[in-house]
Amino acid sequence: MIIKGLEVHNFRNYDHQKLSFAPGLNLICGENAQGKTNLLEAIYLVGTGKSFRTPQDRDLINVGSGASAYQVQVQVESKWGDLILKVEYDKKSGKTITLNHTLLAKRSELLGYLTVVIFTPEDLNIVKGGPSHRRRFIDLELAQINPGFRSNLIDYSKVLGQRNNLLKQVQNGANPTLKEVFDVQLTELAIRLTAKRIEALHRITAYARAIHQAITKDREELALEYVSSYPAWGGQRTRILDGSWQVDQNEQREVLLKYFKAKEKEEIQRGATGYGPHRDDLNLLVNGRDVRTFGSQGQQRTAALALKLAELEFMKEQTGEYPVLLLDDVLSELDKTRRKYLMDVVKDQVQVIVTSTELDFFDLDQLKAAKVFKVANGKVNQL
Amino acid sequence: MYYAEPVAKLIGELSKLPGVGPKTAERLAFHLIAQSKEDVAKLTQALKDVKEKIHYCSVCFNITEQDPCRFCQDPSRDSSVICVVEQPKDIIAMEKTREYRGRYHVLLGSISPMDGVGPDDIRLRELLGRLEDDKVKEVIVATSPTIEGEATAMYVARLVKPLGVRVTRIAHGLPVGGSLEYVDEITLAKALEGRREL
Repeated sequence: MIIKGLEVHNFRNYDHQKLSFAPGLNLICGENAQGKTNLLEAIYLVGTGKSFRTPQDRDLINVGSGASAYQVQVQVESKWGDLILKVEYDKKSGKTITLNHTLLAKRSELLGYLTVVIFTPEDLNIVKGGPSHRRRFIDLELAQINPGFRSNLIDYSKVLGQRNNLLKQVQNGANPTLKEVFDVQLTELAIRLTAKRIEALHRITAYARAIHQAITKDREELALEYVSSYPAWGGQRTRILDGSWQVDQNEQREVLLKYFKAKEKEEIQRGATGYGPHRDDLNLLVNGRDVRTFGSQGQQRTAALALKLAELEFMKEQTGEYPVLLLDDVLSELDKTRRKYLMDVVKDQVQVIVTSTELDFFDLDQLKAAKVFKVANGKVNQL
Repeated sequence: MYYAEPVAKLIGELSKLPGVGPKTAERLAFHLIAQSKEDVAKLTQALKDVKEKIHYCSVCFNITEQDPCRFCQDPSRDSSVICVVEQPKDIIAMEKTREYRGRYHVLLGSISPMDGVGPDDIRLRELLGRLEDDKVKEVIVATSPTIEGEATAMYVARLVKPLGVRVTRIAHGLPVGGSLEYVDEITLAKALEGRREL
């Protein structure tokens, strides 16, 4: 999948800007706060319908221009043919999304036409941060390619909200049969969600392990372990994701239902659901040790890089073509070996759009093959 | 104050209606002011009538002029089957099929703890009351296929099954006459789940 062109209008600090990208490496360089990331944000917005920086569409409108609307348009060359995707937002009439000039009724209909993987310095949190970062990592990418998972996730959070409200009401003596109903409903969605996550994680782990091995020249071995919020598998809460493990949904259904029953008092007291995929986690192990607590800075970065590149491979496997890789200022976070590995892997196969403050990170051959843009104060020039 | 008081009051009342914002309310108000006295009198009479003459049926909670409603009174309908729906307008939809000849029961809502609607806030107890004599053999739950509708359906099943009455749920899946390619993935997945032997 290749982005051929990008056009933004009254978007962030841009008045009007048109760019055409090369199929391989594209470099967007410039000082800080000139609008480099805004271009990646525009691409991400067209791919997913949402910004990765703000949930508020009004924040994306160019403040200086006094405009009340923005437009972003991307030309894509993919297995679907040549596509024109456009996202517009008007303060009065809201957001409209069109595909080849045809209006799409829902944001979710946009997903899948332009798949992107974005890697920013914040992604280090997948390794270093709290469990919610790791859940987001897996859930967001699955939602981008699997509509069933997406609706499963939305339904799960709706039922979770209902059940939490109910638990608070049970405190004041509400109906226990009704709690059973929501136990069943939540369990059904929970086990499906978990099964889909685990299925995807098996694949991602396989890729991540190989990538990690290559970066560390076989010195280190990465493993992923799924951590359930309840003793899900024969009393165990953790399982190594090695690809051989099949989830028995019928068994899982029974286990979680029983657990909800056993923890009824505790959950009612807390007034919140304490068990289920919204409380699960992943452990990242390097040579058998948790890299979050025991890993060095470098090991953590390698793990994050391996996971992100695994995401890229996984999406290729699932959709049949590589997504566009957006690298936001991450080259400065990586040392020379890892940088080289990253650039070598994606070479010739993946379209990459990189933002960077300096060009030193690239050797002459790379620079020669790349398309280089210079951003200054909301204006882009091709070098 | 831009408007004379009666106008402001009318706009205020109109904007309480669903789907009517301040702009639309204003437009409707000015339209009414421009209309003839007779037309407005007809409208006010219609509003009064609907409030005075229409009640909830004491048996099934459908909206009706006579009590019990015509579905509950009709001797040709099958009293051994009750179809449970969320709203009176769902009965209209069911009737249009001309396939269903049993009785109805309207819950007037669905269970949603988030909105503070529990089992006691919908007409469930009345449904159970109707099952006390042994005439009813089957309860068809036709609540919407939403989270709340499904929860309500499951709850109804839990209450009714122990009474020895058969509980069924209407199927969900593909719309008839539609082309497969235009069906959204979720509906298709549900339809696949509920597939049947040919």
